[in-house]
Amino acid sequence: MKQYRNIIITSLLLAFAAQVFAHGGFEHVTGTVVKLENNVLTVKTAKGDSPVTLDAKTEITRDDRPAQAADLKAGVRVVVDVPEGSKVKVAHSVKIGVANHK
Amino acid sequence: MRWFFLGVLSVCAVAILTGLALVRQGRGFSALEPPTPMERWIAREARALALPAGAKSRLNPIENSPETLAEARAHWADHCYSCHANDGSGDTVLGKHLYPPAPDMRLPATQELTDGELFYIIQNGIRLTGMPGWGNGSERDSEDSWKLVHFIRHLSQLTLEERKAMEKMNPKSPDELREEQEEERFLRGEDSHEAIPEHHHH
Repeated sequence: MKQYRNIIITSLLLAFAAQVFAHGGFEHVTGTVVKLENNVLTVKTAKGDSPVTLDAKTEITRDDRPAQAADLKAGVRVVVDVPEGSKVKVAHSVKIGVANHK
Repeated sequence: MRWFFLGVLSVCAVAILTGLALVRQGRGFSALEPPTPMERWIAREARALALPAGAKSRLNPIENSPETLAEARAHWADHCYSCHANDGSGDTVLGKHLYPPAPDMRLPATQELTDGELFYIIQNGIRLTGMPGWGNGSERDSEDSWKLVHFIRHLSQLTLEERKAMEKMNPKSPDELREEQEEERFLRGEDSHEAIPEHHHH
């Protein structure tokens, strides 16, 4: 009887832990900037274009230093962190890298 | 005497019945709901009562210097980040899901505590919350905690550069480290984005 109780408790704990970690992290959108219009940044990723919204709290950096939305020019490499599971993709942070040369 | 015991039994019975009623109503005791104002008040009062005489008025013996803040920043990034976040907002997976959730330490509820109170809490933790007691009785440990008190006062002035430096010191799993390196290579132009798999944790 005690064994059954332990199995049930362990299963419940594992189920709860999985739920917590599935909901709290960030989704990373990695790609190059297509355009920035009306605070919506369109990023070309390996799976196609991905739009993310920038708001006043979005942290934009280049080499760990503050950067501006104006630096998000077409062709620039970016890594965008978006809270996982959010319906409207609002960027938590945008890291800017080098520009792609074509 | 008989009436006294009957009174105590009645109070206990009412408390149990109220608890059962709450559970049956479907509200239950989920840790995902924010604490009620009554719970917050009781917790704050209990914390104040738990402080021994003299702890509140203790002054910080460590000088507040850039070196002190740099040490405390590194300590915080390694030990406190998981629940409190680098900026003290409590905006992390663990911090948001604790009960009660980790507070935003930049707000008056924390900043209005005295240095002595903050030191006591770091050293002894807070019962029935996620805050552990970190004290081990050594002088070195006490110094580290006093330095953290200086850092808590600095939280609202934390710069973006400081936060970015702290991110590099946060505890990371091997997967997260690999992810970080892949992203840095991509940003430097060394990999194409086709080479970067989709990531879903941080």
